[in-house]
Amino acid sequence: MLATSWEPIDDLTWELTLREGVTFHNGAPFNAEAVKFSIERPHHPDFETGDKIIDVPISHVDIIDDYTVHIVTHEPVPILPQRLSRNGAFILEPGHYSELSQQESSRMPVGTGPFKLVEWVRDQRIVMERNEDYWGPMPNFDRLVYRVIPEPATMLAEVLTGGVDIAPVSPSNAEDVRAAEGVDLIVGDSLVRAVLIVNVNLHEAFNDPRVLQAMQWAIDTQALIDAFALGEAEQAVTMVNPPNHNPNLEPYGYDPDKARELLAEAGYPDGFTVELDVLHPDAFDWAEAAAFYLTEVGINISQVNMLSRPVWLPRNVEGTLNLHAHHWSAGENTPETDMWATHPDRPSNSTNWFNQEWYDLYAELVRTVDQDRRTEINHRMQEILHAEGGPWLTQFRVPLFRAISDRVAHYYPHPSFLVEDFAQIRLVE
Amino acid sequence: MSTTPALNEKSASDGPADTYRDSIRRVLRSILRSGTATIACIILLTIAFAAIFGPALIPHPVNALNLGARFVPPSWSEGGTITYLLGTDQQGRDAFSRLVVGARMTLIVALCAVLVGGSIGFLMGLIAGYVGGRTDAVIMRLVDLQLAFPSLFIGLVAMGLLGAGVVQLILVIAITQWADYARIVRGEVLKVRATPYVDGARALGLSHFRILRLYITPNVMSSLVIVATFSLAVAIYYESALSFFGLGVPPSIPTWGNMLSQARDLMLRAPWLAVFPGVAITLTVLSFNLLGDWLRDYLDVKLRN
Amino acid sequence: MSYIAQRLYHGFIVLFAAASISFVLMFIIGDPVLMRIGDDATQETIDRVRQQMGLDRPLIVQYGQFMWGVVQGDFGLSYRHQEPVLGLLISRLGNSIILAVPALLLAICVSIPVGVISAMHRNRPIDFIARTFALVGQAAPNFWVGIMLILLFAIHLRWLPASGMGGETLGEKLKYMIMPVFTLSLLTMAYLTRMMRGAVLELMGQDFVRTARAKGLSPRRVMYRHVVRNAMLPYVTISGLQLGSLISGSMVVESVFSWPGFGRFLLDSIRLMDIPVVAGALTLVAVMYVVLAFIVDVIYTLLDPRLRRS
Repeated sequence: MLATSWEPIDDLTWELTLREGVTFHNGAPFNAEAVKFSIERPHHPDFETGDKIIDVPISHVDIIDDYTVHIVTHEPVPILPQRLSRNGAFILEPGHYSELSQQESSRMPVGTGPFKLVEWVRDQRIVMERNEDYWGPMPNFDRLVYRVIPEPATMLAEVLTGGVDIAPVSPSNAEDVRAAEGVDLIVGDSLVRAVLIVNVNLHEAFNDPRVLQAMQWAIDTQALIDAFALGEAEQAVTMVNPPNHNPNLEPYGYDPDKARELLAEAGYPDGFTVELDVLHPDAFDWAEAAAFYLTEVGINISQVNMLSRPVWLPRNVEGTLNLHAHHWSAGENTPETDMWATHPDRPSNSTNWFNQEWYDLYAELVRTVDQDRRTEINHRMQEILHAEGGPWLTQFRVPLFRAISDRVAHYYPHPSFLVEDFAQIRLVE
Repeated sequence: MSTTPALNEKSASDGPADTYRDSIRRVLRSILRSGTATIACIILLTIAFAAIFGPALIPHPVNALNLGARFVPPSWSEGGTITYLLGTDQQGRDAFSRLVVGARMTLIVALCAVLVGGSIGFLMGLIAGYVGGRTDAVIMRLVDLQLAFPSLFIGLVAMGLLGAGVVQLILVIAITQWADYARIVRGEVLKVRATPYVDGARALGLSHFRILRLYITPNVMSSLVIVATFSLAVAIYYESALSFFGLGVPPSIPTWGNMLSQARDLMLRAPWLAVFPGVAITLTVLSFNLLGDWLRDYLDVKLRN
Repeated sequence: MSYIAQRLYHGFIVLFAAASISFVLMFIIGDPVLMRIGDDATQETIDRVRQQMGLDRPLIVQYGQFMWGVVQGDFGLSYRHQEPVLGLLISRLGNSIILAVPALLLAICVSIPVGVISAMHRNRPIDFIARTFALVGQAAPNFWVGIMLILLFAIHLRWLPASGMGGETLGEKLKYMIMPVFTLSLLTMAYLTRMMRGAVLELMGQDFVRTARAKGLSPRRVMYRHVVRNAMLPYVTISGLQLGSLISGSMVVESVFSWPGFGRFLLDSIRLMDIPVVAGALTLVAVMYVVLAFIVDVIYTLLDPRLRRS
């Protein structure tokens, strides 16, 4: 971490103390100037992309001395440290990045991390070398090579034949890795949820909470976890990840009879028919199984579609997707970023779901700095989501399966999926 | 290709039951005499049977998952069971049942695509050849444009834009095929138009439609039947290739291409899943090709006599 | 020469139409702004980027700009890579040629002898084997053949690397090429073998061959002097026209074997709806086709004087 301490001074100001003696890959010093440049950069009108850090209502950054800054926001941001620690909020070397265009600099990154970029051959490999001036503990290997291997099966073959040292594997192949010699299987926790999302505008039935509850009871989530996550996950109640989840809530179980009863009560004794869209390729297997369970109680899934990102992206914004299965996470792991998923003001919220009490509570949560009050609001909001039954169903955090060769130790996948800490890896002699 | 239109018409209209039965007998005898054609017919009849009656006869419902019996190997290998003849997939579904039912959608897509593509091409070729002039030029430039792109490339781009779906897939495959028919039909039309019969017919005051029906269509038919047989093979390849790349039939519908697509990611876990759909595609494509070869020989011989 | 001029004119029409189709693709499909900045951007950002990309100008102006760009070889920036499309496409072509040329050579080297031998020993076991091989090679879908090869040679026997392009020494590099080259070659090989066999059989029944044989020339001499030589003419033109099937084939083979070439890049771009790349490839493929067809036309004209006059 480049900050050694962080504290709110008042509702709108956070004070950060920076690590001393750190240099960028190009030799320039890391200091308050660099922090100010990096945090203010995306708020400049010429900045091209709509990166996430813009979501934070940052006003400006004051330089107090070389290693102290004050970050001033327009509104209170109780989760500013989490916001600043996620993907996208990187500290950049001001000289390098103000000289080059955004396009050029995105191909020649200069940061402070343990590895420097040496070579990038698009769609083939990225070669990185150890940064000898790194401030933290040094890895005991010189080069780190990322290889792009698009086909999972061929990637697995490479792992098993020693072509690569670390690779993600699908749950279906995890058993083979476990059984293979010279390779180990690592199961990491993640923030990413496997979720079945209801677009309540898709069918009038979805406006009735009983129908959503019926869908929860209809699906044997535990069986899905056992089959498609090798039992390495727990069923979640809402989209809020631990430690912020409400521990008093119990997930819906598997009870197809109850599901049929609720459907009949809601006026759909014969069920109805919808389609299911899968937005993430890894979600397809469990989504197809979930479709089977839903069809069993009368919610007939006529077709399961696999949509590529460019196809679903506009429909996501328009809110016109069918019932959809996705793997999604907010990287910050805070209640407000987790629950932002189903917030009506989020441009890419595809649920069209609305609950006035929940909406008002959210507005209060994002401004509340007091921890006890935050927990109270957060838990109440989760109760509402749970009682309504949706609009997010069938959730479990997707475990990360990694195959690692025996010559590598101390590797653990980062739960956010967005960054990786390769500096922790040690080669076994 | 030297028959006169008049003769052709005679044999077509002059068909009392006996001649008809005779000609069927003749066709059958010729098929039986050709070993390859016999094999092709047996395979195709089996597959057609699977496509039509398969869903009623299969041991397990196609979509019935059994998460407790995932990745059961085929019955003859270690750990296999006779309940699941060809093993099960990642959902614990019976691979044999899906293979049988997969024949249906695969064949439906191929047949419809050839029918639609053939009809479009037939009409375009007829118009181009018969009307001639500027219409001909425009249609032939369209043919040029079509032929400038590899069919699979067009198919992938079009399906990428339209999204996976059965109707889209049929139309897209049809569109990759029409140009071949248009060229052949146009060529035949030009050939027939140059014969004195057509001029005579026109002098007799026959309508364009009658001329097309009586003199041109019968001549083109034998070529079309041959081309259509080969196109069925091609259409089956495209259906499976596009589905294999996730741009064909929606993945929840069992087709051989979809089964292969899912099997690819499970090559290590369940290699048997990748074998049989490929064998099924190969056999079907092979049979249509053999049948096409036989038809070409047979019709040629018949025409020469 | 008017024939050549006419073909040239037709080729030009095809290119113009291909470029126009590319524009329509670019314009009607997807939302380039969304693709660039993601789905959580504010309306303000969306408007600004739309303006930066020139998407707020009238359609006809955009069409004119696009066509003018195409003439100069400028197809715009890839959504995914934010780099000029033409450069991206051309940089992949090299890797594809590395596969395509050996594949075509392999097909030729196998198909000529096998076709000739098969025809010479018509209906003997060797003919039967060759024909079965050719028929199955033509029928087996290439993506499945690729998977079967990976299963057998990479996973089961572990003789060859499963995929990708790699290796330090020449020998290692070749190991990566064996399976993709064979898979890419198979269809063409089977097709050309059948063609060669058919051509030889047909020629063997012709008068000049019978005459040559009657003159007492050795069968071998007749075969090479008269039959094979004459069969080569259509063979060469047809093998030159395998471009389309090689492009299709490389999309499949490069994807199955993760080979970083033109075909895989194109397939990835289609899947990710990187429309400028798809549109650029569309035009580029049309150019390749038109140029090749033109060359074939010229050769035909030179070989066949009758065409020159008409």
